Amino acid sequence: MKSKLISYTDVTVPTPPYKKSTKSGIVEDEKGKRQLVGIDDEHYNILKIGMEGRIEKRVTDFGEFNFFVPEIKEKKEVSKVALITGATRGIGKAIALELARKGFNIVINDLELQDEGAEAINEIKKGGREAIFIKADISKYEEVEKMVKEAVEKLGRMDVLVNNAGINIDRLLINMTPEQWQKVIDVDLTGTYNCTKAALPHMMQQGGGRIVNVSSMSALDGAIGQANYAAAKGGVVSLTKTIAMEYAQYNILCNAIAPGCIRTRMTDAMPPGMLRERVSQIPLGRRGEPEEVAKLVVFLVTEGNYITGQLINISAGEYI
Amino acid sequence: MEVGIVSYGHTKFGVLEQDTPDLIKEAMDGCLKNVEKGISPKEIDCVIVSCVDNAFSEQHQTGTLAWEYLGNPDAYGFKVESACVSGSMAIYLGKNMIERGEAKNVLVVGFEKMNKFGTDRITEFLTHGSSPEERKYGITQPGAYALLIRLYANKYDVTEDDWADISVKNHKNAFRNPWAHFHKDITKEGVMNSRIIADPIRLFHCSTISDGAASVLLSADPKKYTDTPVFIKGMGVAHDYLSAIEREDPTFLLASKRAADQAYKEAGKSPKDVDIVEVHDAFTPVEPMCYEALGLAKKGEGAKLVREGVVMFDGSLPVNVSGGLKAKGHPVGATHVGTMVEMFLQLRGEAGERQVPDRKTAIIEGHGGTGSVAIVSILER
Repeated sequence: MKSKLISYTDVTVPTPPYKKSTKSGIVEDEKGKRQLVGIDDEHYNILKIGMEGRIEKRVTDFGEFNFFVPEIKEKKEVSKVALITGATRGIGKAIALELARKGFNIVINDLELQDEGAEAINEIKKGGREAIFIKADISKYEEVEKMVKEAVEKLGRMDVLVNNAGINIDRLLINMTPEQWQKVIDVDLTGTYNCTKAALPHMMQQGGGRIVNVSSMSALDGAIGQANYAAAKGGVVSLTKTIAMEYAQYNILCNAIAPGCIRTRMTDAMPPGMLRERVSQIPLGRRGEPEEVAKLVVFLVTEGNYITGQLINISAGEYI
Repeated sequence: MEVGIVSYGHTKFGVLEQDTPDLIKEAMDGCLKNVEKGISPKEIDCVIVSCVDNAFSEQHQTGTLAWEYLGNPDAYGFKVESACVSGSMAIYLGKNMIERGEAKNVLVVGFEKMNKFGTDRITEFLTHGSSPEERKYGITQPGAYALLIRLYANKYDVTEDDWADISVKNHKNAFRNPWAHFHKDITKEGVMNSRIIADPIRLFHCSTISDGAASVLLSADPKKYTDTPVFIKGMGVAHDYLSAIEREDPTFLLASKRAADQAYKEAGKSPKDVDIVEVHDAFTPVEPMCYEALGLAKKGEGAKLVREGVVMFDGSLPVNVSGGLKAKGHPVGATHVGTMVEMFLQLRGEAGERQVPDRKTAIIEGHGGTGSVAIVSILER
């Protein structure tokens, strides 16, 4: 027997035993009998009064429930959108390309597009996905807000945010000026806050999202000469845990990754002796590739539906 | 015999430092002190306390506590609960006791101390009043109202603009009320952009979580205590199913209508006699439904009264001049003792800055749950 949806709601302030927003509705059958039903997150944004559907009995952790499954005549394919900061090169670029291969439309952010960024955009477009570049200094909230607005206007959604952009200005703390301290904090920590704050309302409205924050090994055990960088990346870990706690109820999962010694401009610039010494400390005995980090990010955002608030290190055993 | 209200007490509504005993005492002391011709505690036979959930206050035996504060060893005290109309139910019982000759004077004191916990715990406690099925599906009080309101909005002519106008109206009214929880001007845009609590209900549609207490003294011989009593001309109580899906028409507050019919009949009045109104705007989108249940508007046409300015402070039929539950506050057990105090003052011309001139007949509508219990009172000088 078909049922017709006559009302629905999304309770965003849940009460125990529920931890996340609960979506429910009232349906009426052909005889006019009404009943309460649960509604899946994925269906909520397409609901309309009068929509027909079937009732599906399900046993969940909270008991037996009736769910309304709407009859969808034309299933629209939804292309999800990922915004990656600092994505014109290195790990960010690799993440953008890997997510595009998995079907995401991509927003590449950086201070300048540069040749490598333009190449990435072409490659993504050749692969059949959309890609746009949006210039923004992530340490400035107004620019970030504008960027997210533009991204949603042009690509229609905001499903994944990868807070990858970061800088380092290394020197011993005694020699570090207040400006050098602040600059790194502003980009690496405040930038993560800015982008997350601007993206969250869209993810909440859409019924979920995935955030991956790129932290660092320095956040785990500190690093001589990186007081500002280690403090910022440590802050990113705590921020990640807090975002995970606050927004799990909206089906927004947030994790951090701590890449070890990855083949990027940063490690290319290390003095050869220092690089050899570092590689010798890595059980796998080599630097990691940006693509290997990108695969972890892709896993977290496409498969990691039961992982949130975690710091996952990807360092070939350098940190055990 | 007509039961008269002869005195009142009222604390501020808001996030208060006082705990339950202090709130009860302040409201009772105020009520006793405000008896113009004086009264001895020995003349008061009974004190009825109203409170929705002792889990808020962690204070039980409030009937006995109030008896202690009264100071008449021969009196007795007890507590009543009837969801958000607990206060009205206490007054209804007091009125009936006097009419049956079981008491001469009854003091009613409503209170609630809600702000001991965070919003999530308070929402949880309030959800205990929902139907078991609603609770199972995680439908909170705002959620249950949201389901009703979407149904109503789909059937009748009402818009988000109307809902915002009601929130703004009630906040403006609260500015004139020194007891109100909020003295905060809000804008229509602010309401329409406030965050969703239970789609389509937004934060600025919701009543407040308040602490507070209010009291009234009911008497069989009102003129003995004041020359200007306010009489309870009629009162009605009615119920409907806890869960709106069981109701004949979930877009109509049938219990409120049935309670109003009883009150009009007892008072010998009709909707056209009423010239000032307090209704249960626990969520402002429900306010037009209250007008309809009281017969002040036709079914589905409640919002017209907002658009035409009828229910504004300077309109012909002002509604919620106190600020309503939205902005005066909603300390659940005290709320409808508070609305009674408001109408008592308005009819006596003693409401200060918020006085609406020359009001003769007041009506108060309160309901619990999403309309599963309703009490309507008609007052006159």
